Amino acid sequence: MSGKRLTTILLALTLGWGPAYSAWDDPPLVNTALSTTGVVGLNFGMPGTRQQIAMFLISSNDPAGFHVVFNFANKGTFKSGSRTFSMSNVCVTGISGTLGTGLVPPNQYALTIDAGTGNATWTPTGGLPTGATDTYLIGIFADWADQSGMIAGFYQENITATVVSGF
Amino acid sequence: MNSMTEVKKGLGRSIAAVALAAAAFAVPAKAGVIAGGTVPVINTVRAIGNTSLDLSAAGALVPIVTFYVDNNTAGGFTISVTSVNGGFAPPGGVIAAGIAFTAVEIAAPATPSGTLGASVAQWDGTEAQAAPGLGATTTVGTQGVQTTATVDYKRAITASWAAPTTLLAGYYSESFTVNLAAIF
Repeated sequence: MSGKRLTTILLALTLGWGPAYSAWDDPPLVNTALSTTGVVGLNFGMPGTRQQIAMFLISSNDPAGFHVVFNFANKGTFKSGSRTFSMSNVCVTGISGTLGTGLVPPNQYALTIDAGTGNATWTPTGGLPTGATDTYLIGIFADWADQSGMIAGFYQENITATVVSGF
Repeated sequence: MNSMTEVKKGLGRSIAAVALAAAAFAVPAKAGVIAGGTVPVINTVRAIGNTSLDLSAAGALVPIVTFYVDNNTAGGFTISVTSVNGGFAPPGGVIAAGIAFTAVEIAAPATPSGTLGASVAQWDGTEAQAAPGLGATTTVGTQGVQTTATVDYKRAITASWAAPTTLLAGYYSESFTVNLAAIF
């Protein structure tokens, strides 16, 4: 091997060239969440039952599986200034796309929102996946009581979804 | 010198490859959305008139109209009650030939109900206007900034009149306009 070629190889290795491979020919690790839609046209002048309030696209090829941590900034309440009212029966349901082979699609999977952190977790069941989850669309649904007795205005909650490796 | 040039070229290519690799795998594991909606504005008033009054004798703050207020605007509202003629008039007749009011008030009904919104400048639910006489009369109440909604809040319009001693028999009536104006 020439000196020039050896130098180039050594420099490449030093700089850590290339993606995070578990082996030379393995695909890169993917755990991603993409926001699609937050519903902002909800009518709180009447009760809501299993109304869709948000959607996310989930992708993961993590052999260790994944779970999704949702954070509700207002701890599961719709807020307008100092005025708030709670949502209830918050759940996750799979809508479309590919869920990793072996994982059970969520169907009204109940989300329990922690009063302190505002976090709620969907952990797919069914064991370790044997295939990738590819742009799997999930929806978050919730109930609320008739709020026509509240002061008029726009009430909102901010929701983030984070895909985390493992179960 | 040639070796140094080759090393520098190799270094440049390696750095570019690292940058490209980093860009290709800078994907988000976290995403956020806003979920929300509106509580629509409610600003309604409905009124029911008393059509079975006994006008043969004087009346003293007799309930003649019952009205209900629904309002959920943060700024509160004003409620105005206008007596069109200022008294009971004969059908198609001149009000001067009718029964003039000596007082028109907004007051608590005999059976209060509903909820007045919480407010630091809360309307006390009563407004008095003495001796309106014949002619249009408007009485106004104001509810200040609300922190809770006013829901089905029941009030009455009461009126007083002197005993009609010279009027002919017949049906005498008055029209009231109740106007609810929201404050945003």
